[in-house]
Parts: sequence; C-alpha cells; structure tokens
Amino acid sequence: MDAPLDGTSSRRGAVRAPQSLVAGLGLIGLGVFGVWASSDLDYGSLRAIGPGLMPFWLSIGVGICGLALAIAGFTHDGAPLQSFSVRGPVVITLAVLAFAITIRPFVLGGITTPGLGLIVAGPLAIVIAGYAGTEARFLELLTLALFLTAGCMLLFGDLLNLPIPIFPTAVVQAMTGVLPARTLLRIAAGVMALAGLGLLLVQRRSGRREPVDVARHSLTT
Amino acid sequence: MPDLLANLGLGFSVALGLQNIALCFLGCLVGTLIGVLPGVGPIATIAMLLPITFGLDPVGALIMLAGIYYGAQYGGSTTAILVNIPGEATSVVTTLDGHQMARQGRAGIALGTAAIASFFAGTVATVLIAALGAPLTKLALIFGPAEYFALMVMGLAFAVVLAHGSVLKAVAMILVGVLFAAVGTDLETGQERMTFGFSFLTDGVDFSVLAMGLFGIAEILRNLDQTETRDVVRERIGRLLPGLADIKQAAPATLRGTAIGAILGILPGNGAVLGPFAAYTIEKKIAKDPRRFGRGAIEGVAGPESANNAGAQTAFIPLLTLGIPPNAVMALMVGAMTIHGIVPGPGVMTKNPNLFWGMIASMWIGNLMLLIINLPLVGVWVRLLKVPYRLMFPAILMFCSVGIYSINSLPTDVMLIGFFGLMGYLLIKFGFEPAPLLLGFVLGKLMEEYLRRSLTLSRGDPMVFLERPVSAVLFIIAFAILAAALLPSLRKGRDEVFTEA
Amino acid sequence: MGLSPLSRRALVVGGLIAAALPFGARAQAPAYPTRPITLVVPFAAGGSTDVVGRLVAQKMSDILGQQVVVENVVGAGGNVGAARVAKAEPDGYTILMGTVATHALNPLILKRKPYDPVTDFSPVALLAVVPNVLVVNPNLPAKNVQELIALLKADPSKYNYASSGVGTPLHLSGELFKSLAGVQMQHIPYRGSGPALNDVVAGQVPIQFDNLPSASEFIKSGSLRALAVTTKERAPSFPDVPTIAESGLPAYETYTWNALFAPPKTPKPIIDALNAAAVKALADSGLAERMKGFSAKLTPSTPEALAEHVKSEIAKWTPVVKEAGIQAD
Repeated sequence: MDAPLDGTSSRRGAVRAPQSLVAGLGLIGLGVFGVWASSDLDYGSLRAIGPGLMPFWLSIGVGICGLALAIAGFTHDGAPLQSFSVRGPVVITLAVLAFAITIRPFVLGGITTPGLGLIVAGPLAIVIAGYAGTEARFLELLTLALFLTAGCMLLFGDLLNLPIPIFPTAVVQAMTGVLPARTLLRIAAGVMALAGLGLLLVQRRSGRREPVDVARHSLTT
Repeated sequence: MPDLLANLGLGFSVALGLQNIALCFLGCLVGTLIGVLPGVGPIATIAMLLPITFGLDPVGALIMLAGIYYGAQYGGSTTAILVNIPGEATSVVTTLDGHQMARQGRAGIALGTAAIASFFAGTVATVLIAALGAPLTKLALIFGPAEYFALMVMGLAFAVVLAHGSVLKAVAMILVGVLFAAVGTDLETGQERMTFGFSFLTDGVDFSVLAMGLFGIAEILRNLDQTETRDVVRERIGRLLPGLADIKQAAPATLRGTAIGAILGILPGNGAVLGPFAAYTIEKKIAKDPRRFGRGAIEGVAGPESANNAGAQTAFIPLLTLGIPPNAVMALMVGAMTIHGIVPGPGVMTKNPNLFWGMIASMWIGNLMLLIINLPLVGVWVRLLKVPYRLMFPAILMFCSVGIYSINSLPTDVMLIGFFGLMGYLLIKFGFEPAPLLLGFVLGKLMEEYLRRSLTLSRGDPMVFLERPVSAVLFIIAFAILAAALLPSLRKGRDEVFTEA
Repeated sequence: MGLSPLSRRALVVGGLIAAALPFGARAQAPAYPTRPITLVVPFAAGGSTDVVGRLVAQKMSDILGQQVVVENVVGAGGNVGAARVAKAEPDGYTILMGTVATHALNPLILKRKPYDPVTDFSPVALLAVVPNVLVVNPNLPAKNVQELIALLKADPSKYNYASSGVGTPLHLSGELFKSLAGVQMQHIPYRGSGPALNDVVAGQVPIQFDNLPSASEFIKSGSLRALAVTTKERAPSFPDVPTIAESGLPAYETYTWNALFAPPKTPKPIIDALNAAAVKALADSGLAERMKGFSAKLTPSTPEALAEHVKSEIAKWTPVVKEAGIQAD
C-alpha cells in the first residue's frame, strides 16, 4: 500500500495494476454470490457429500483468487484497464435476443411472442447484428440475410431435417393441406435466393463492390 | 496374428462393398459439414438421421453414423482454427494455437497439419482397435470411481499448464468453470442447485452453449473492437499446405498425441475428453521454448488434433466390446444398434463379426476419405477468411444461434449464448483466458460425480484415493505437474504468478 | 459443399417440380392429419424410450400417410418435454411419448409440479411394457433372491446398489425391494444405466436394478448374473429367470411403460385416429419382432384403459416414494 508516488500517472495513485484490482474485485463478488446462491444447500458429510459442499468451497476458492489478484493490484505493476465499447455488446445481444424470441413462441411474463420461424428470425438476427460494426450497409446485409437464410433453410430444414421451425406458425396452419411443408420450404428458399440475386444486381449497378464475396459465402458455408 | 489378418480381411470385404463405401462417404461428408457449422453437433444430426437409416442394413447404417461422428471431429477443428469457435469439448485446445496460426496467415498450414495428424492418429487407432480391442476392455474395468476422480484432478492440473498468462488467473478460471458445472439438478439428491428458480437451468448449462458464448460471441465482440488484427487475418494467407519443415516439426507431436489420445479414449468414463489437453500439456512441457505455445506453435495443433482423433476412434472400444457408451454420441449409437435389432454388449464381436470388423475397417476408410475431402477444402476455407468481417460476423452469429437452437429446441439456450458472450468479452478485457474455464466446466461435472461416488462407496474414507494403486499414481502425476507449473514462477520472484508471463 | 452445385435457377425449378409431385397422392387422405405430427420424446436420443418412440413413429407415419417426426425435448427427467406437450395446441400435431417417469414418478417426487399427469393430458394408447431386472456381479455369493436377502441382512451396511439415477423407475424398484424385503443397501446413482453397468460388471458396485433390454447381453455372456425380473410374469426372452414375486416377495411388481399422450382437450376424433394408428402399428409383425428383440411386451390399449393405468400407477407408487423419502424442488 505504501507505494511511492507515481509521477507519471497521478490518477492511479496507489493502484499499480488497475486491471488486476478490478478483476480481483469481480472474482470476490462472484465468490460471495456463489456462497449466497449455494447457502440453501446441504453440505452433507464425507460419507455422503451433500449438494452444497462443492459449490461452497469453489466459491471460497474463487474469492481467495480474487483477493490475491486484488492485492496484486497494489503490489505489482500491471496492465491498465482496457477501454470498452458499448455498441458491439449491446447490438449483438439485441440480435441474439431477437433470434431467440422470434424463432418459436416464447412466453415472456404475460406476453407470448408469435413464433415466426427461421425465415424471420434469421434475417432479423443478421441485419441487427450487422449494425454492431461501423461499416454496416442495409442493402448488403439484407442480401446476405436472404442468401444465408435460404441456405440455412435448405441445409437444416431439408437436408439435415432438424426440427427447427422454418415458417411462422400462422403460415404453417394456413398452408396445412394446401402444400406439403417441404415444398413450401423449397419454394420459399428459391424465392429468397432470387430476391437476394435481384438485390445483388441492384447494388452492382449502383457501383457497390463486394457482391461476389456475399454470394460465395452463402454457398460455401 | 493370422486371426487378426483374417478378421481385418472380413472387415474390409464388408466395408468395401459398394453400398457401404457410399454410406461411409456420405457420413464423412455430412459429418464434416456439421462439424464446420458452429453449434450444430453430431448428436442432433445423428438423432435426426436415425430414421433415414431404418431402411438400410445395420452395418451400413452404423458405418454412416460413425462417419458422421468422426467427420464432425475433423470439421470441428476447422471452425476452431478459422474462427476460434470450438464445436466440441475436444477442439477447445485447437483454438489456442490453431487460431493464432490463422491470425499469422498460416491457416492453411494449421488446417493441413490438423488433417494429416488426424489421419495418422486414425490409422494407428484403427489398427489398435483391431489388434487389441478385446484385451483392452480389461483396462476399462480397472477404472472405478476413485481412478476417474484422480484422472479428472490430473486433467485440471493440465489446465493450469494450458494457460499462457498468469497462473493465478488460470486457477481462478478453472474454479469458476467447475462452479458453473455445479449449476443444475444434483445427480445424487435430485435437488436443484443455483438455478434461482429458472426452469431452463434445471439441467445445467450445455457445453455447446458455454463454448459458443465464451468463444463464438465473445470473439465477435473482441474483433469488433480491434479492426487491425482481423484485417491481418484476411490479407496474409501464405502457404496452403504444410511444407516438409512443418511436417518434420509436427511429426513427434503427432506420435505422442496419438498414443495419449488412444489410451484415454478406451476409458468408458469419457476419458477421451482429456486427450487433447494432456497432449497439449506434454508438448508445452517438453518444448525447448514453451513460450511459443499460445502464439501459433504447430505442435500445439498436431498433438491435440491427433489425440482428439485417436480418442474418437478408440472410444468405440467400450461401445463395441462392452456395450457401454462413453459419451452422448456413443449412447446414440447404442440406440441405433438397438433399433436395428443388435443389442450392444459383450456379445457383439462374436455374434456379429460382420458388423464389428466391418465398422473397424470402415473407420480407416473413413479417415482416408476425410483426408481426401479435407485437404482440397483447405483452400476453400482459407479463402473464406477473405470475406469482409462486416459480413462474416453476422453470418457466424446466425449459425451459432441456429446451431444452438437445434440442440435442445430451447430459445433460452440462444439467450444464454448472448449472456456468456458478454461474460467472455469482460473476461478478455480483464486478461482472463476462457479455455481453462471451459476445461474446468467439462471436468468439473465428472469430477464431483466421481468424488462423491467414491466416498459413498468407501463409506467416507478418503484414503481410498491413495490405497488404490492406479489412483495413487495419477494423483502423484497431478501434483508433479502442478509443482512443475507453479514452482519456477514462484521462485522467480512471484511476478509470473500474478502477471502475464 | 453439398449445396454449391444447386444453382439458384435449378433450385427454383426443383422447387416447382417438387411442389407439383405430391398432389396425386393426397387424394383420398382423411381430414386429419394433413401435415407432419411431432412426437415429443422427453428423453435423450438413443435411450430405450427413444427407440420405442422411433420404431412406433415410423410405423405410424406409414399408417397415417403423414410423417411422424420424433423430437427429443430433453430435461428434468422428462418434465420439460412432457410440460411442453401439456401446454401445446390440442390439434393432434404435437403428441408425447410418456413413461412411468413422466406420468407417475416425477409428479410424485417434485414439490413444484410442472403439470398434472391426469388432467393435463388426453391419453391416447398404452404401447409397451418393459421389465426391469435385478442383476448382480457374478462374484457375489448370491445365486437367488433369497440368498441375496440373507446376505444383505447379515451385514446391513456393507452393500451398495446402482441405478440410472435418483427418482428413476430403477431407483424406486430398488427402494421397493428394500422396503418389502426389510433389508438395507446404499443407493449409488449414475448418469444413465450404461455407466452403472460398467461399475457393476467391474465389481465396484455388486448389485443393480436395470432395464432388461440394456442388461440382456451382459446376462447372456455371463458378465452379470440375473437374479430375478421385476414383473409378475417371467420375461419370454429369459424364461429361466424367476420373478421377484415368486422368489418370496409376492407383492413386488415394477416395470417401465411407454404410452402416447396428447395435449388436454384434444377432440375425440383426433384421439381415436391416433389410437387406431398406434394400435395398428403395434400389430405390425416387423415392429413386434424388433420390440421382442429387446424384451418389450406390446400392450395396445384404448384411451380409457390408459387413463385407468395412469391412475393405478400413481396409486401404486405414492407409498413407495413417500417411504423412500425422495423429494426434489
């Protein structure tokens, strides 16, 4: 604690490795949380170890590691805190959430989201996620979304036959008896691929670059 | 010996039938495909393809399903190297040096090395199964709960060595990983632990969910921060396949990895999961300059990859000779056999020699096919890195989401990858490595289970771990590894324990 | 990859052709079903429930003229999948492969009940009954149930028995045995019956209650000794193995069963169509042959009989669960 005054970074003061200090405090927090979360569980005996014993001692261990790291923040020179961006994490989280609540009906409190299937959830996730970067262009993302979703529908729904909802539940019910699900899937994928192709042409005409990459990507992944 | 040759002859005559070759190829192709796609695992795929195999004869069906399994192991390393996402517990280690190689423009060499090392390991493991499959079963029976516990402790000691930064931070991550593994329903009492009343946590956190979050999503977030490094990845591509010098460097690591992986794979308690970690640790320990590891050392790809593939093959030994599935995919194979009217168990080898030897022969053929499928693909994969990152990451995000959803059909799993992604981002920002956490998570569940089981069996006497010779030896190795990892840095003024090495 | 040869044009053309194809075949199809039916199997793929589910689903697909797709919704000992079907639309397109676990044991064990096994489902048909078996390591000096009971009584704290997990039918088979025979043995739970078998064959644990299908090969090869089956009658696949009931515990009977359930308030015509398809599927000789291969006894029933069966199972297990003191959140 009695570190000599640091002339170069006066704002840091006694803290010589802010990264270690904050990381350590975080671990201590996690340890305390773990002890609290497992406090309602029985520790048992050596003969019949209860469910609470391991979580308790692990949390203590995490806490001790945190303490050592925090102390090291005062005694050893180390890395400064790194800068955080907010845009990436927030937008990516939104994209993941958008996919999760639209893929199938999801009960959130009193509200149930309509199950929209991959055909909506996929493009939604791609377009939203695209805005996590600074170079996002809407048309380009939409093209990518159309191609990738069409590819995924064929790959997961048709080829691998995974039980993933493809269409909104309302559409499935409306189309029941009109068209077999698989045919609908193939037509929809074809239409999406065509739309994507159209968009590509529009973008190429307007002088944008990169369309080749988009196309190849959707076919090779 | 003549017996072995006759048996292998029978096996190849079955496996080389036109239909079986085609099925083997199809299995390998599908396996590679789903292995490459982040999140989609062999379990969901095999489960979905089971009905398609109803119409086939059992040998062909199982050959195809087995092809999916080891094809996925191959494909998984591709994703690990290219985009730093481990699709399976066993490819976590490959991300460490494999992805670093890709960042240095040596993606092709890393992919090629992985393919060749895997092929070599697969070949050796196939011969091993054929020659020693039956006697090796005895090894499986030596391992009781106490031995498995010791093995898991040894695995966690490996994890400390795995880290290339601060040892203290690595230990903390391992403990957090084991803590995460405790979330969910307790096996012994059925009580819920640390689920906070959320029903989606009752079965704990799925490995793929944790891995996709900590690696896949967190990697995207990190790359969005640093524009420069990811551009390096796509501009410098370099050689496509490993050269002679690379192969020379990788060969000894491949040999060692194969041996380690093959032995651990035989254990029915999912010992195969340890193979790559153990191989990596050994390579790092015997290397002249351990600091190269984590920065793109080719041995760090060859060793674990060969161990991974050898283990994937020898994991069939407990299945075929004992009927005991060592992991979830093998459990699915048991189901497939049952559906086809073959009851797995010690009788399969004598009662269905066609199936037993046919599958073994097909494994070698499958490995050859995988090499043929994968080597030309290296060029395609590497060119994929040229896709601008602003298009790449939304695609990765979507594949991760679809893949995770397809495992359990639970939207909450998809939300969890977002959560773990944020957590992984924070960890990176504070200088923690996610790999030890993931290893702690994988081993933690097994470790607690075996610890509690051995103590219940011994009626609370902890001496059981030292009285049993195999377990005692494993504990000694674990402590030796820990001492070797901790002592030098402690002596050198303790700095390395706390800060980056 | 597999997709690249499909040019976009070919894809569209292919789609149109595929669209035109199936119309002919649909001509005489009944009003229900008109699209694929999801059969939720609440356990992992590859397990015995999954195998029964897939075999039956395949036959029912042929009979109904629509694909019956198996979806494994795993979690909480089968509760996640069962709860999903309990809350699904009662339109006959989501049905459940229920078992003794989802419809008798879990609701008794859990403090917080995710569904009511009687009111939250429309029973369709009982499908199969699978016997359990009491096996021991061959080195254990007990050749029959009576000798085992004597052994357990001589040293009440010495012996352990393995099962595939807490609250599973196999665990409760063991608990029922303990209470009826008046003996003590320590329960060792495993994650499924595979790992448990391994330790019993290796001699780490001497005794196990298992499903007959998963233990059968070990019994035939002599790696395990079967002392008795748990059903009232001997299993046709093992005629020499006595029952526990005939070995001195006449009240003892446990077995695992599989049955189809639909969501509550499913219209009667749909239930009847499903029941007829299931019963017809079970009558298929190929299916019967495969099910016999793993000692399952086919038990086609009416929806009403299944409703009765669920009630009688709950009545049977209530005291056992109480006495064993198993409670979970």
